[in-house]
Amino acid sequence: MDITISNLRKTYGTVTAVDVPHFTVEGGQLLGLVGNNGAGKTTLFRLLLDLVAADAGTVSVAGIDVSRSESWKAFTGAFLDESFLIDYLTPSEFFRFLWRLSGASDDSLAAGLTMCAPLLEGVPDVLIRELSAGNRQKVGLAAAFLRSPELVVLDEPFTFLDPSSQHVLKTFLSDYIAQHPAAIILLSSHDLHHVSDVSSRIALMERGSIVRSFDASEDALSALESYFAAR
Amino acid sequence: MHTLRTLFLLHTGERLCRQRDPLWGRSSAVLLLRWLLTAVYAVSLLTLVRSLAGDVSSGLIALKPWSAVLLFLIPDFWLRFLFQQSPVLRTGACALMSVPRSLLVHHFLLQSVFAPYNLFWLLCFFWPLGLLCVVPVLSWTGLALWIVLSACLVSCSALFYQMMRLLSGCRFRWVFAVAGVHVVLLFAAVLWGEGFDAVPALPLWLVAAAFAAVAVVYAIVFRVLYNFREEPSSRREHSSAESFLAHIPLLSLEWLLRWRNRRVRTSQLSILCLMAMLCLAQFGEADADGVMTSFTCLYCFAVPVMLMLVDVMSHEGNYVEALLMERGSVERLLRAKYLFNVLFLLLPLLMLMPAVTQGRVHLLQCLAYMLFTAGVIFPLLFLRAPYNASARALHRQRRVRASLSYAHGFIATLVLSLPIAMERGARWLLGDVWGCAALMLLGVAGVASHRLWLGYVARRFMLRRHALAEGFRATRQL
Repeated sequence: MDITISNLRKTYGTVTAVDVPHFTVEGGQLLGLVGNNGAGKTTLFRLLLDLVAADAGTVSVAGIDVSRSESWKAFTGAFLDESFLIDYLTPSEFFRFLWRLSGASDDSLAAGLTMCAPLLEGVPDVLIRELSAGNRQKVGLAAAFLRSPELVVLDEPFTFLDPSSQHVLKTFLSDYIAQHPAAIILLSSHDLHHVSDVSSRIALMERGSIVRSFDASEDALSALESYFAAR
Repeated sequence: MHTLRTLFLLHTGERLCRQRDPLWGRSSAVLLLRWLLTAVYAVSLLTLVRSLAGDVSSGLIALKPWSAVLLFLIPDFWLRFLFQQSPVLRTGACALMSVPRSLLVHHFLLQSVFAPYNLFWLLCFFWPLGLLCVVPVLSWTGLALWIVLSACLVSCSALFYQMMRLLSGCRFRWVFAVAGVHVVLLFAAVLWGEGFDAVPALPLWLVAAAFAAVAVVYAIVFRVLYNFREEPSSRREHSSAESFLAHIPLLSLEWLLRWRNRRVRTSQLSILCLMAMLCLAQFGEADADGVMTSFTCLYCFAVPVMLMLVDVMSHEGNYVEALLMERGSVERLLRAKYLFNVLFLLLPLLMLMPAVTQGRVHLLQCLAYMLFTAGVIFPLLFLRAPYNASARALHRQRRVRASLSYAHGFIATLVLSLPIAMERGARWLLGDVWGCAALMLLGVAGVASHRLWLGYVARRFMLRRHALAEGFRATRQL
């Protein structure tokens, strides 16, 4: 299981949103993507999930070109923003809908919900549009991990979460990678502390390009802070 | 001074809001159409009055009270409801302003009373009506009093309309309550009123009473709006239908889309009311040449589905990315949507059964329209799915950019004209029975081949998925 990006390019008018000549993510990695606003993190994730058409280049997940086949969706989970939620369902209905849509039986749904239970702490079972922003975030995150996918893409997952929930999410992500050694988790965040805490690898993005990529270490946070302080 | 400045800022903010409204503000064609339709409606009402009034020189024409209610207030309310843009009062945002709530409500109500639309309606209808009906009998003095009276009447109507507009935003049942009252008034007028009588005078006390009525209505509407608090919708209990459909995920989703979202639910209820009224109308005078019956069948079968499906997949544009993350979900969703709407066609069939049993409508004609809609009209509407790139709001009153494209207009024209043209043509060519049978055959062929054309629609949708997703994203952010 790996992700390979080759000559990927996306422009909006005269602005280059993404320009990545070559990048690879191996299985078992939790990649933290950091960058300033407008760096292209979300656009890169959308290209990876085939929600945006690339102007050039390819993205392959486990050898499957994401723009030419849908088979990679069977082992992919994602939560980018609220357009991934169906807000007139309750969380339980939403999870059941996703579960059945994937063709899985209801018997195994309980196991998936048990795994995601830490993320859903304190979320009431009312219509999703009636939930607070933080609870909607929790529902989206739980939905991304519900079927224990091998690839998970999360855009700003710590947004709207209270400090306790942020800690729970960090623990969950670490445990998930430990229990699924071949899985890949991609997440982006503006919070350098969170990224340096959970990631096994960190990539810096600026003006659409990945300018640096290094394995996370004890010095990662200071390296990131000094990098962005210089900007 | 501070109050005046605040009012000026409010007025400026609302003017900017209206100018930048994605639906009414940018499309000058829509704006012009709105005013034009209002003027046409006013002229047609005047023509109706003129034809009913008869000989002006014989000194008649004034309206009995019931007729006044019918002719002035009922059309005025519905015209406003359909065409007049409501001044913006977003209590949530305004609540943060350092102004008293009473000042906000007064500003809102005074804006309603002195809105340009009211002047337009007075100029188009009421004052010409005065020239037509009052001047010949009471001369120009009477006209002056009539102008004042009509202005008071329009002000009352404007205030009432604003109250109903705000209340209907949270509970659409208020509009049905008003419609029910108007229906009762109509029946009462038919029973009691004869419409016109010689007018004696327009006494001054009537004018004073009109001013008093405006003040009373103003006070009532002020109190209602001042105490208005929008309540968030609460969790709905599972109905038995939801439980039944729960094991069919996409059908269940379609059902819940219709009934858990305010804007979609409102459209559904309006359509059901329209169908019910048309079915009831069949019990009126017999339709000799069958044209009215054909229109009834059209409006019961084809028009409701057109209203729901002309923007097919636009509601799903709000969560299309959740669907795109599942393989094959788009085709399955389209299939579920088709099945759901085909089952929905049984409802007008059932509603027309009383008319069928009474011999007002032929059963074959109903079945022909039903199957033709399912097999021919549905494919036409579903073909729009790969090209509707505007997300429609589900629940809140959020404006989206008007999608008045040529394709929409063409599809709507086709849906409205094709069934009737085909039915009348087939019956003329082949006779009543074989004509209906031909339509039924066409419909059955379309239904039997639904996997083919739905598969084609799904493939086209997936080919254009990126453009659609970007379009949905852009319109969701409005």
